[in-house]
Amino acid sequence: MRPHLHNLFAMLLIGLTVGGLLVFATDPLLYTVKKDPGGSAFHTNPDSLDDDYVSSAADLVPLMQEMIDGGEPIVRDIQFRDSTAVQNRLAMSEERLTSLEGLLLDLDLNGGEIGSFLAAMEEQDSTLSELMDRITAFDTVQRVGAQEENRNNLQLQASVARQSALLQRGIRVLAERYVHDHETVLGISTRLDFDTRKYREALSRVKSLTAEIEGKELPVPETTSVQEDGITFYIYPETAAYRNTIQVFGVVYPPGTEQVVSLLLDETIVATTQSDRQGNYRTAYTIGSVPAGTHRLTARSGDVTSVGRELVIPETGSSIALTAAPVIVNRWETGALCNGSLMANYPVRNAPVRIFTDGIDSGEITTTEDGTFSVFLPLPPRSYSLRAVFSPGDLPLSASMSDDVPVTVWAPLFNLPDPSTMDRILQVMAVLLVGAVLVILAADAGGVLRLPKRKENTEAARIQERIEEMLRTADRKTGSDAAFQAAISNLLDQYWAALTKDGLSEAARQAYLTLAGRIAQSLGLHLGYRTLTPREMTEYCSGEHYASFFTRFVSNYEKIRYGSSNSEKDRIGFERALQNAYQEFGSDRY
Amino acid sequence: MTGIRTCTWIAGALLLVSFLVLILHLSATGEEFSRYNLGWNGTSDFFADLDHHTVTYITVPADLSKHTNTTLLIIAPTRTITAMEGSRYRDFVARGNTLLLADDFGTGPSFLEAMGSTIRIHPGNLSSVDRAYSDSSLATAVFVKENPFLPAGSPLVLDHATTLEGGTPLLTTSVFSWVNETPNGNLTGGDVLRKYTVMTEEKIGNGTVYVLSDPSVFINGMTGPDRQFRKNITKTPLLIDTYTSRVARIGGIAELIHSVRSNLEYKFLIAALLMACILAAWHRRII
Repeated sequence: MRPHLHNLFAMLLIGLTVGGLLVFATDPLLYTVKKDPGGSAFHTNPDSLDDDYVSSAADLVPLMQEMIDGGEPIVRDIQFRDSTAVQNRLAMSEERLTSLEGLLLDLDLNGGEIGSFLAAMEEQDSTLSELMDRITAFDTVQRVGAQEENRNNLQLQASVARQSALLQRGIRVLAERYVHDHETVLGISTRLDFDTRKYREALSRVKSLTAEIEGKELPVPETTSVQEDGITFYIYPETAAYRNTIQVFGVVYPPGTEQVVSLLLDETIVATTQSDRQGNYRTAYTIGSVPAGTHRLTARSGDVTSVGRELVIPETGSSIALTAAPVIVNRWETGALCNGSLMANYPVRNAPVRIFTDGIDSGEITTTEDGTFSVFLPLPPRSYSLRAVFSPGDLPLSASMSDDVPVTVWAPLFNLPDPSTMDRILQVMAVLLVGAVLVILAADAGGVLRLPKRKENTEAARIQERIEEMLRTADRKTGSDAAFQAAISNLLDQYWAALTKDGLSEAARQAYLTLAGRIAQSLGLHLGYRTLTPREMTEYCSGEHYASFFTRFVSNYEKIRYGSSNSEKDRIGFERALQNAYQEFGSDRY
Repeated sequence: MTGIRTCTWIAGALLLVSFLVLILHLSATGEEFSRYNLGWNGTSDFFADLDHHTVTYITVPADLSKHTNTTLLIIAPTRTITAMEGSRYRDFVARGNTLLLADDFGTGPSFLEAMGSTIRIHPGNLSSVDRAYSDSSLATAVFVKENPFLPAGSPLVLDHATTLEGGTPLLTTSVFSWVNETPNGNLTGGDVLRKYTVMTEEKIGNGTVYVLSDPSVFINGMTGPDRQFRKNITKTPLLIDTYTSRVARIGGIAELIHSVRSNLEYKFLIAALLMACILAAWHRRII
């Protein structure tokens, strides 16, 4: 077997042995988190856990305190009848609840008494929202009854009184629900050392609000009993803008069964509700997709329709804002990202907005629930002027358009092909690369390739080239060993040939034997020299003129042959000594 | 020198490394809390950091009578001691020594009872919102009273601890803590949030018994977070109980290797054998 193959085989065996040993030794010495991630009843492996950022009570406490304190301003706004502020605060509270839910999930706290705290808080917000609605309805009904022109309308007054009583009852139930949830939250908060002063104040405000509503009880006036089918219908206010709410109430006759009552706007049903057994019904209607102008509202129960009431919806001014920024998506597609919002006192929901690029219509987009919109507009690289335009359609709003927004779309720095093409190119390149490597390996293994070897030095390279040339010539001529030997005509050539074929140690031995043979021949020793050691040979020729050359040669030879030296320094030293010896005993002389 | 000799050197080096790995492997164990366990759940790091000149291993309770002004450390006991043995531990403390017991689910409760302590270890998984990792079972405990092990301001990280009752509380969890039976540690319907004691002390005679409801603070996996606590324990001369504790547990070939390592005569014998092998190799010109 050739030496380098032998080495390769030996290394492979050693590698396999060590690998096998390490596999065997992996338990219990070489632990990995993957091998034992779960731990035991005694502990969990901390290395298997994430400790980059860990939530703690420091995150939880402020959020819970905010929630506890957040109830009082809501109740105060209800007392002030500021429904917009109440809605805003409830929206904030919902956001806090969502954050808290996420945090509790993170902290494994989504159960137990913290779960009760969260549920009670959620319930409270819903109670307060409902309370706001009921109180608004109560106030509206009271206001309708208090209007000068309605004072002598006994039927209306009776309806007002009944609706008020119903609403009072509803408010009372809501207040009781609030108190119940308050007790739960207060108990947990107090035990966990939270500041509950504001929270207690919220409770006293709810109680005082309930007392205020209870104090407005109206007597139900005596009215004649109506046995014929009929329906009374009242609205308040009679003028309402976009997203304002009007209260609608009345009585269905004769009482006795619950009836479905439909609210019609210009003969189109826009809402339905149900009367109670006494015939009282009430609902609220928020102005949405209705054109501005005067409309007619009626209530219908079965075949009976109420008298019509006029509802005036004024046009509300709208405003639209637009921003645009150049972007590149999917590594190659250029364009502008357009963001904007549409407002008309409130955010305008689900409204169509058109984008114009340099005055040309580029498409339509619909606003979201919070009145905003966002769209990517694919555009080739250059400068543009963008504008957003809102046409109200059926909404009671004025048309509006944004200012012109300049935007410059830049080309990508590297014009890469689209991702799918890029992937295909990379796949083809990978296949070609693997193919090329396989071809090179196959060619090398088959000896087709003759990769250039590093030149040791100029003279050595020259001699090497000569020997290779001779070998090639010999191969061409006969292809036999005899021809090869014949081709090597001198000492140095023999050395280089042996070095290439058998390595340094063997080449040195052959060089020594040749040289020693020639010296022995000159000294008349003939074949007897083979029994002598190199040092004994130096003693035999000590009187000769070449003795010093030969001694140096033998010294270098011993380093390589017996000292097993393979170093560059010793090899060069030996070759110099050989060179000198060659000059002394070249084939021409002996 | 030719390539084959280089290869021999590499082979020799690899075989030597492999041999050392094998010895290391065979001398280790996977036993929880074992000082010979190099893994995350062993206590090899803690024992490696000890000053071996001031540490004594107690293999039988009778040996305690020889020691004064010292601290006995018992980590994760599993042996149930008799009343007689209990009285030996009690006498040790009463003579002015300190005993620190760290246990959660072992025989710690019966040990405390046998030695006449009023401290009780309650089973159940302690979890807390205040934790060092993303697992509520790795709760942090904070200082509530002066003690020799943990200064104010530096928390102790626990790993599946239980809770304590009795004695004077030294370390407690935050109020956002709970104990439950579910393995995932989630707060469930019946769980109540409150502070729980995890380290407490009790005076017995002239000495003091400290109880920590979590021996996992000594495992290798907790070396980082609990370094200060462990360092403070090793400040004084220390006795390590191996009679009841799991720290000395070992099995198989590892036991043989450690018995050789701990015996001076065996060490001399092995050294002599190795020297003989080297001399023989030298003589035969192998090396």
